[in-house]
Amino acid sequence: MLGKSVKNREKYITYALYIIPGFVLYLCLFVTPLILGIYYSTFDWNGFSKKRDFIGLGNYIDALTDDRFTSAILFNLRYSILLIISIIVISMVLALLLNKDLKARGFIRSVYFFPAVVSMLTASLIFNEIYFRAIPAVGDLLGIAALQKSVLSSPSTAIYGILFVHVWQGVAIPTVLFLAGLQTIPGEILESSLIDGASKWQQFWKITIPYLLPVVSVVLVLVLRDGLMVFDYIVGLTDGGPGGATTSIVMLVYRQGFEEMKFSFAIAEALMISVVLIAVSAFQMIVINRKSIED
Amino acid sequence: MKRFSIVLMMLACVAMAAFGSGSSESASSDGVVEIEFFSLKPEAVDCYQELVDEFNAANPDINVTLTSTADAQTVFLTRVATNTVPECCYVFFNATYEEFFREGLFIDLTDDPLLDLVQPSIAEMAEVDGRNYSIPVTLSPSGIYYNKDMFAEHGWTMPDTYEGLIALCQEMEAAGIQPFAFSDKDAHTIGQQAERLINGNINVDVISKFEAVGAGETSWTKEPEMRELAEMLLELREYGPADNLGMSHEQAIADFVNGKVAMIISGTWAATTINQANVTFDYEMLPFPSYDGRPVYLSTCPDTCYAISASASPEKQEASRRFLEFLLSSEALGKWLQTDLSPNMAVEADYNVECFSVINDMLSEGAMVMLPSVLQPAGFRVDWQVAVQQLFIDHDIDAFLAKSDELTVDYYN
Amino acid sequence: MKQKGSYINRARWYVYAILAVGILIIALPFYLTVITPFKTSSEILGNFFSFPKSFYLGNFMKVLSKPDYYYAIGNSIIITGIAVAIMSILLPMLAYPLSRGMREKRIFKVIYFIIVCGIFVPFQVRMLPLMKLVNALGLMNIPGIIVLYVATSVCEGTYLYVGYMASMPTSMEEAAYIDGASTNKTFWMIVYPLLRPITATVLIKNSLWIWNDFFMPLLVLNRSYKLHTITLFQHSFKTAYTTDYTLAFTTFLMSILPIMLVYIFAQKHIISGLTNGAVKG
Repeated sequence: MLGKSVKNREKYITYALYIIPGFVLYLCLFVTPLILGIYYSTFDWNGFSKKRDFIGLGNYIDALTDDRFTSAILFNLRYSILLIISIIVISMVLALLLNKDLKARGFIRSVYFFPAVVSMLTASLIFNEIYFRAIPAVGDLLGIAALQKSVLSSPSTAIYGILFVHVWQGVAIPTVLFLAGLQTIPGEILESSLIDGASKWQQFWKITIPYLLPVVSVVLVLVLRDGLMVFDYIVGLTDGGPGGATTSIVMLVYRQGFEEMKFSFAIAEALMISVVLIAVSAFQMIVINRKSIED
Repeated sequence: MKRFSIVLMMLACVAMAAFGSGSSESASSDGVVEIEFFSLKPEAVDCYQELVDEFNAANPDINVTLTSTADAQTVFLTRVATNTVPECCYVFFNATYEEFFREGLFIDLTDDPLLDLVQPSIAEMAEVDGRNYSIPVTLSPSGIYYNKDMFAEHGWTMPDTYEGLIALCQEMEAAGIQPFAFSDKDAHTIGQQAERLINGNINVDVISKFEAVGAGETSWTKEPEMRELAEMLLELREYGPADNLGMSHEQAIADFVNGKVAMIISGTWAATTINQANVTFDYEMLPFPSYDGRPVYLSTCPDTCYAISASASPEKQEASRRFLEFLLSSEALGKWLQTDLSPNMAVEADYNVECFSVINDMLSEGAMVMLPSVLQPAGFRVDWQVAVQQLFIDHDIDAFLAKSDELTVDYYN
Repeated sequence: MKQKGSYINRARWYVYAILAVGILIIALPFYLTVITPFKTSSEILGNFFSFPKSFYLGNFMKVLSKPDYYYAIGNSIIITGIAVAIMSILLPMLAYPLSRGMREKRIFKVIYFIIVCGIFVPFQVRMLPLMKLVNALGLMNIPGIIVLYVATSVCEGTYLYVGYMASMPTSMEEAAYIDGASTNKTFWMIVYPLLRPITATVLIKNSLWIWNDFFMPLLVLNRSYKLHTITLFQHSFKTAYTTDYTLAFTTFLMSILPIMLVYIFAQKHIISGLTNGAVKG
C-alpha cells in the first residue's frame, strides 16, 4: 500500500510538471486578454479614446435587438450546417478511398492536399476569376442560363460560392484526421469479420464507423468552429454582399470594431457567440463521450 | 526528463530572446534621433523607401525607418489602441481619423510653417473644428474614365449633360459596344460612386439634408436627392454589364483596358492600375456630366496627409518636421508624382498628369466639396453602400429610401 | 504495405474514377497557380486562363531582386519550424495528464474544460487586449510571435490529443506502470511513439495555419520589413483597390515548396505510426 501512494505521488508530480508550462502560457497569453475583452465589453468605448462610460450589459442588450446581428447569426447557422455536412461526408469518403492500396498513393494524397496549402489571397483571386469569367463562358457556350451569371452575384446563391471554396480547401485536414483514425482500427478485427462472412457494408457500419466516431466528433467541433467564425473566405469573395446577404458574425464584429469604431459593442457580440458555441460543443462532447464509453 | 528539459530550455530561450530584443530596440545610439514613418499606402512602398534612404543619407543626425504593411489601416488602429503611435504618419482624412485628431493624438499644425507648403484651399479643407492637425497633400476625386482611341474612332465626345451621356450610351450600344463596366461586387466602390454623385452632381449641400433627416425633421421620401440618385444609378446600370454584381474592381479595369467597354466610373487611384496593365493605353478622366442643369462639383477629400504624433518627444517631433519638409520639397514631390498620380496640392509640386488635366483645373478653380462620408458619423457609408447594392438586386427604390431613412436616423443619433 | 494484411482492399476502377473527378476539380486552380507567374500583367488582364505566350521570367526576377523576399521566406521557415517543434512536445505533455487524470481527479477535467473553451473564442475578442499585453511585454518580434503561436495552439492541440488518447488502449501503459517504470518514462517510451499519427496531424495543421496566417504577423511584426513573413510579403501586392496578380502569384508559387515538404514528410507518419508502434509494443 505504501508503494502505491509513493507511486501516486510520483505520478501526480509528473502530471503537474507536464501541465504547468503549457497551461501557464495559455493563461497568460490567451485567458488574460480574453478577460480584459470581457471587461471592455461592459463599456461604451471606441477602443482608443480616453473617455469611456460603463454601461454594464448595455452592449449585449443592444446586440440582441440589432437586426444585422440576428441576420448574421442566421447566415452563420445555415452556412455551418452546410459546411459540416459537406466536409464530413467528403473527407470521410476521401479518407476511405485514399486508405486503399492505390497505385501512386503518395502522389494522389499530395494532390488532394494541395488546396489546403493555397493561401487565402491566391484562392480568392483564382475563384473570383473562375466564377466571373470561366463558368459564365461555359454557360454561354452550352446555353445554360443558370451558369451565365457569377454564382456570387445573387444573394440566394452567393453562399454556395463561398461554401465551395471553403470545402475545396477545408476537406484536406479532416481527411488527414480520418486517415489517422482509420489506422486505429486493429487489422485483426477487420480480418475476422471478413472470415465471419460480414459484407463490406456491414463491416463499414459495424466496425469502421464506431472506430471513427471519436474522429467525427473532433471534426464536427472544428468544422463547427470554422463555420461559425468564417471571415476570410467571405472577405476574399463577396465582402459580405451582395446586399449584405453573406455577412457573417465575425465579419460584422470586425467591421463594427474597426470601421464603425464600436469596439466594445463588437466584443460583446463576439462573446455572446462564444458562449453559445461552448454550450453547443459541451453538449455534443458529452453525448459522444457517453456513446464511446458505452462501446 | 531529457525531452522535458529540452522543451523548457527552448521556451526559455525564445522568451529571453523576445524580452531581450524588445528592450534593446528602444535604446537610441549616440545622438542620432530615431523616428518611424508609418505609411498607409502599401503601393508606394518602393517610392517611400527611396525617399527615406535619400533623407537619411543627407541628414546623419536623423534616422528614419519606414513601416509599410498590407492592411495598414488595421495596423494603424492597433498602434493607436496600444499607445504606440508612430512619430511621423501618413494619415487619411475621414471620420475615423477626425476622431483621432479630436482626441489629441497628433500635434496641432495650424500655425506651423509646414502648412505653408500646401495650397490654402486644401489646408482649409483639412480643418477639424477650425484647426489643422495634418498636412494635406493630394486630392482624389472621381469621374468618368473613357477610352480615347475608341472615342476618336467613332467620333464620340464626352457630353456635358447627363441626358447627353445617356444618349451616347445608346449610340454605343447601337454600335455594338458596351458603354460601362461597373464593379458592383465590391460594395465600397458602389459607396464611393453613390456619395460622390449625390454630393457633386445632385446637391452640393446634401450634407445638410442628411443632418435634417438624421434629426427627424424630414425624410428621404420627402427630399428628392436620394430618389434622384437611385434613378440615376439604376439607369446607368442598364448600360453596364449584365452581371454587374459579379464584377470586381480589377475585372472592371481589365475590361476597360481591353477595350471591351468604353467607360468606367472611378477615382484618380485607378490610373496607376490602368498604366500598369497597359502602358500604351490612351485614356482620360472627366468629371461626371451635369445632371438636370445643375453645376458640377468634385466631391472629394484630402487623400495623402501627413501628421506628427503628439506623444513623441520634442526632438523626435522636430526630426519628423524636417522629414515632412523634405517630403514636400520639389525633388521629393517629383518622385512621389511618379507613384501617385492624384492631383497634388503641394506648393512645390510640378503637377502635369495629362489624363487629369481637366480635373486638376476644376480643383484649382475651387469647384470642389468635401465628401459626405468625412462629415457623417463613422461607419455610415459602410452600412449605406450595402443598401445601394441591395437596390441593384431588387430595383426597389421605395425600399431603398426607407432603408436610407432608417440608417440616417440610426447613425445621426 | 503487403504485411498489413488483406483488410486493406485493393482499389477497384470506381475508386480511381471518383478520385479522378476530385483531381479534376483541383486541377484548374492548380494550373492557374502554375501558369500565372509566367505571364505579364497585360497578358493576365487580357486572358487570365490562357497559356503563357512565352515563358516570361521577369516576375521571378522581380521577386528575387527584392531583399524582402529572402527575409520573408526565412522568417516564415524559422517561425513555423520552431513553433511546431515546441508544440509537438509541449502539447502531448499537456494532454497526457489531462486525458489520464480526468478519470481520477476532477481538477484535470476542469483544466481540460478551461482549455477547450478557448477553441470558440474569436481572435477579434482578444485582439486589442492581446496587442496591449504583447506590446507591454516587449514581444513584438519573432520570438514573441512564436510564443504567441504556441499559446494559441494550446486549445485545439489539447483537444485533438486528448481525443486521440481516449481511443488508445491503456493496457501497455498499465503494464509498464506495474513493472515499476516512472510516469515520465512510460510517457516517453510507450505513449509518445504511439501518438505519432496525431502528432503528425497536429504538425501539418499548425504548420499550415502559421505559414498562411495573416493577422498575427500583421499585428505583431509590422515594425520592419525584415520581420515580415511570406504572407505579409504576398499581401503587400494587394492594395485597397487592386492586386498585382503577377507578383502575388509568383510569390505564392515560390513559397509553396517548404510547406508541401512538411506534408509529404508528415503524412508517412500518419499512416505508419500506429501499426509500427503496436508491433514494437
